[in-house]
Formats: sequence, C-alpha cells, structure tokens
Amino acid sequence: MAEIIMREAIARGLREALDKDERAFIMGEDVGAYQGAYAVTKGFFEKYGPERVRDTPIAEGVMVGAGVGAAMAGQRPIVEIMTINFLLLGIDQVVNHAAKLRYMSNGQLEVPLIIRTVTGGGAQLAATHSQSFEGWFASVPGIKVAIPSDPYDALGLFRSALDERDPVIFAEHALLYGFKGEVPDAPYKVPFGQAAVKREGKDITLVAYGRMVHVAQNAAKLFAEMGKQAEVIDVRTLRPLDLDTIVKSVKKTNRCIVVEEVWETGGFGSWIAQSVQEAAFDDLDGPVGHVGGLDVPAPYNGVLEAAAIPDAKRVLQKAKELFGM
Amino acid sequence: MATELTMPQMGYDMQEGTLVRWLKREGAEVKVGDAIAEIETDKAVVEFEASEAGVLNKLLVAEGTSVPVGKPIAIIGAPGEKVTAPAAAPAPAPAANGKGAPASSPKRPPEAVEARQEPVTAPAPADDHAAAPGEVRASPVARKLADEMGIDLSKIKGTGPGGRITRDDVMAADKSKAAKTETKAEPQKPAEATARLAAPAPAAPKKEAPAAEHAPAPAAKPGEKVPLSKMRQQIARVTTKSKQEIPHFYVTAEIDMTEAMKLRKQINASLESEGIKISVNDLIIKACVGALRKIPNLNSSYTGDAIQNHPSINIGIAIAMEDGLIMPAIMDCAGKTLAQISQASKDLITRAQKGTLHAQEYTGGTFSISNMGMFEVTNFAAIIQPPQAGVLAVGTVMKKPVVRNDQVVIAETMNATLSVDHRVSDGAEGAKFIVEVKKDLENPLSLLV
Repeated sequence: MAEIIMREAIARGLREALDKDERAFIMGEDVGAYQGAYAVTKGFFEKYGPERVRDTPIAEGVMVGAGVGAAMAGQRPIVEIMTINFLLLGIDQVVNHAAKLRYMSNGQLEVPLIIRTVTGGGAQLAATHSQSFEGWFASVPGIKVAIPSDPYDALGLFRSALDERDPVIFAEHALLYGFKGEVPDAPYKVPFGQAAVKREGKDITLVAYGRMVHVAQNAAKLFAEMGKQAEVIDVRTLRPLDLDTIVKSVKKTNRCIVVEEVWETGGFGSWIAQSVQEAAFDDLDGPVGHVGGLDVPAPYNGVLEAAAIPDAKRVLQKAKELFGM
Repeated sequence: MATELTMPQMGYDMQEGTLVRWLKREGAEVKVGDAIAEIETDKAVVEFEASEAGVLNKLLVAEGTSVPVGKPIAIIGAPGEKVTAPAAAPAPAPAANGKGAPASSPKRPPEAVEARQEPVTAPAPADDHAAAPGEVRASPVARKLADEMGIDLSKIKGTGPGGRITRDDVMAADKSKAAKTETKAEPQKPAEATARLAAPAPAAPKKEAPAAEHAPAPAAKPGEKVPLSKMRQQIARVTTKSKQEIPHFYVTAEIDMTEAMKLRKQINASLESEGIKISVNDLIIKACVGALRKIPNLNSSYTGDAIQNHPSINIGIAIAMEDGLIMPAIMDCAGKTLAQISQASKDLITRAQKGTLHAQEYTGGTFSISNMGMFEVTNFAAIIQPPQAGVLAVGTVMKKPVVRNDQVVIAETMNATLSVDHRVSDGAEGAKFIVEVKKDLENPLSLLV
C-alpha cells in the first residue's frame, strides 16, 4: 500500500483504461502535447500517441458531441473538459443527447462516455472559473455523477466509471489534486451508489462530497473539542445517491447537516436534505441543515473567496442555530 | 379495576365513528352485552355493547362527537371505584346538542401531547397548526423517545433553540425520573374486548369530512355535482382497494334450477304454517356452505405472507340500501340447517335496514354472495370484499330451452359467476367450487341433509 496524490490516482486509472481496452481514448484541450492543464495526462502523449490522446480545439460542444458519437459507435471515449465551467458549452450534448439516447432508442443505443472535469473554487480563478455544477448534472436522469474526495476513491470510482454503460460525469476538485492518501496495489473498485462513512460519531451527521468532505472532517474535529462526535458521510456519487447510508446515520445521531460548495440556493444538497427529512422525520432533533456557498459570483479576492465557500466554522454555527449544539 | 372502552372498528376500513347517543348514564350498572351507546359508522347506526360488567365510571366523549377507531370513549369499573388513571380522551369537540363532554381530569393527562398530535376529526378549528396556549415544543425524536419512555414532555424544560425539547433533554429527564423512587400508575390499556373486532389493521385515522357530509345527499339534478355520502365514500374506498390489490379471476357456470325451484315450492308449502319461507338465495347460501366445507381454501384470507384459513364459515350477503350497499354476514353457517339459514338471513336483512347490526356481522364475513335475481339480469361479476377470498354473483332464474338427453326441453336456469382472489386460489379450484354449488343446486335434496 503506497501513499499517492489524487492526480496520480486518476492518471493510474486512465493508464489502466488505455492499456486494458484499445477502444479507449482520451480527448480534450491540452491533454496531449501540453500534458494536461492539471498535469494529469503527463507522459501520455509520448506513450500512447496522438490517436489515443487527442488534442482538440477549444469547442466543448463539439468535444462532448464527438464523445457521444464515438461512444455510440462502440468506442470508449474519455473526454476531458478543462473545468466544469466550460461544460456549460457542452450541456446540450450531455443533457439532451448523452443522457437520453438509451431511453429514446429503446435501449438499442448506449453511451459509455466518461467526461472528466474539474470542479470547485478556492484557487482565486474568479467568477467564471470557480463554480461547482456537478449537482446540476446529477439532477438529470440518465447521467451518473461521481465526485471523489481522496485518492483511494478517485481510483476506485474511476474503475467503476469504466464499467459503466451510461454517461458519467467524473468531477475532480481542483484543490484536491495534491491531496495524499493510501491506495492499495491490489485491484479494487469503489461501486457507484455507495456512500462512505469517513468518520464515525453519534451526535450529528455531516453529509458532504468532494472537497467539502474535508471541511466536514475539520468541523468534526471542532465538535470533538466540544465533546461531541460528528459522523462524516461522503456520498461519493450524487447519482446514484446512497440515501440509505445517510438515513441510517441520521437515525443514530438524530441531527443532520448537508455541506456543499455550490451556491446555497437550489444546491443538490438541498435535495439530499429534503430526502433525509422525509425518510427520518421522526428521528430528527431539529430541521435538516444545509450549508452551501454564499449566493454571490465567486470573488477573485482571496479573502472574499474564502468567505464565500463553506468552512468548518459555518458548519458549527449552523449546528448551534438548529440544534443548540 | 377500571377498563377503557374504545371506539370499535365496525367495518372493514372504518376509521372513525360518531357517538350519536349514550344509552346509559354515568354511574349506571351494566352487564356484558348491554347496549350503552349508539354509534354511527360509515354505514349505519349500531348499538355499542359493554364488553365488561361493572359501573360506567366515566363517559369520555360528548354525544355527536366523532372518535377515531381505538380511542377510548368510556371507562367501566367496579361499583363505586374511583377513576384514578386519567384516560387519553380525545379532546371533546363541540357537541351538536350543545352539551359539553364530561371533563376527564382537571390535571393535564400524560398523553395529552400525544392526543394533540392526532386532532379529533369532529368540527374543529380550521387551523390545527396554530399553537395552543402552553403548547409543548419538542423535536420529532424527542417526542418519540418521550413516548417510548413514558415521559411527560410538558414537565420538561427544553434547552434547544426557542425552548425546543431535544433528544438530550428527554434523556436527562429519563435519568432523573429513574432516580426517583416513586412510580406512577401505568395508564390503562385499551379494553381487550375490542380486539375481537380487529379486522385487518386500519390505516392511521385520517382526517375525515366534516359532519355536514353526514347529511343525506340531495337528489341529483341534471348537471349538478352531488357530494358523496359517507356510505358512497366507503364503497368507493373498499371497491377501489379491492380491485387494485386483489387479482380477481372469474368462473361462470349455468345452473339448472328446475329441481331446486320445485323443492323450494314443496318446502314452503309444508312450512307455511310455521311461517318459514325459503328463498332462492337461502338455497344458494346452503350450497355455497357445502362447497366451502369441501374446498376450505376459498374460506380464507390472503395476509401477505400466508393464507389464513377461517375456522367458521360466515356468509356475507349483499344488501341494497337506500344510498348504497352493505355486506353483513350470517355467522357460523356450517352448522345451520336450511331453515336456520333462512331465518338468519331474514333477521340480518331486517336488522340491516333498522341499523342494528352487530359489529362482528360487518367484519366477520369469510365469503360472500351477491344476488341480482330480482333485477332480471343474466350475468354479472362481483367485486371481492376484502379480506375475503371470493364472492359468488348470481343472476335471475329464468325459463330457457336446454338440451337434456338430446332433447330440447324447458328448464329454469341461472348463471352464477364466482370471483376469486388469485393470490389464494387458481382457476381449477374455482371451477371445482362452482361445480360443487351446481351439483348441490341441481340435486337439491342434498341441501336438506
């Protein structure tokens, strides 16, 4: 078992994909000669060549559309969209085509397309480069959305994504590429639709995904100083969503706060919160809380940006408001 | 020792009943079986009988009040006994006759919080979210825990936001309660006697229509919308549930009734002096009882994980009422002679029209017969009355040319269609049943032995 960073875990998954299946190929802006905007495909161009690691023009709609077509034609395309902010240009291809072709063709077509993309803020990239849209895509039936929070999950979820016969949005948080974690050498997978209890506790359940799992972990440490034990749940895939694990935890702790980075208004976490409220009402000691990003375009200023993104203190503040903790 | 009498379930799917009139006063001595109140169900007004002997210590609800099934309506105790355990009486609603409900206890009973969660369905203030004075604010889990631990939430001080009682407050109260040596008397359990009435578990009492809907529906004018009567609502509910949940299949046979009609004439002629008159339906009931004894599987209920065979054969008969229909049952038909069945059937019809049926007769049916013979219909299929497994629909007996020994002759025939719950039985068994009925009716002497 070796400690590696998340960038390396994803690169390992990509290499496995290209080695194992000759139908698999990568395409995206700067994935080839430039070796990846986030250096995930470093060395790929030399090893696999321009046919399988294809540089594309700056045209996200075309890239996703070509990916959909290639997947329909029996290839295993992995499209890298430099950031999820740019995926808005390909959203028609995702929502109206990739998501629906199986349904509209009565199962005759399938779209085993993986869209790898980078999500989240915190790197002072300003309003148009700091958003978290994975929840938008997770609201579309037909799409699966995975969002790892550590190297182990990144590799395990990516292996599961390769097995999928339906389009997968694989959202990697920009600030987690350097996050270190243990990854076994032996083969393993992290199945879709299985949330992980990343920390056990009996007093409050904190539900999060992506980088917010770490914010929840930090909050749990602060709770521990107050003598309270927080349970941290990483949902890992937004769709399929593993509500059972969350509800089981809430029945134990009686309190729940969902933490996510996207704007608080209409966030996917609101849907999780509502589902928990419905499933565990009689076990709740107060309303299900939801902590999200402030409803402002991401500020460029570092101090302001940090203030707009949820942190452990805001989670504690919410717990105090709702539960008097 | 005092016992609570609770609102019985007097019909499949009955969720509440209205206490129309008390027939005994507080303090009156009652024997088991004494009628103590009149209760209006979805179908009719029925007498409520005491299931215990003793003194009526307290009447907990006012006349005219609607009470959910299972809620206490009166306390019966030994003569002179004081009522110590306050009962979880539903909050008295304004009575139609202006008489208030007897005050149950000056002190707020421990279950008061619970009672508030299920508002009484009688005419009540429109906004049940409005906080009552002195309302207890507690989280859902705090309420659940307090309920499980038997803790009175009104005695706990909440430490949560806005004074909300939280899980931890209840846990702390439980600890301090355990520390105290004095224990309180347990609240009385609802009377066991009502258990016998327990048909399939009713859904949690739902909000029902206000009392105004008890009024008979006015005659419909063209284009007019007529609100559903209670009975119509009930029929709509039960038949919809039956058709949605029970996979019905149907088996039809033509039965030659010539011999049965002859026999009936003979019997009626000979018994005229005794005032007994056998109807065609009585013959059909008797034939069905015989068939059910041979094929007991059809005298059963599907319970989800098993088939519950019933120990007695109770034949429900569909009785058309002014604004709907009811299906009370003749209890324990297996041991009854044709004459006894005939009498029981007449008695049932008379009492159905007077509204003095017993609760058990509403719920206890195990198989039913629906007869439309009087309407000159040849065929129809009936909807099974849950939780029964079958119903036989019979049409008119009419003269018809039939082939007997290769000769066309005139015979009196009748069509019968059996509806069966496919979860309980299959086509072959249904066919076997209807053939048994046919055999008995075509050789009617067998019905007499």
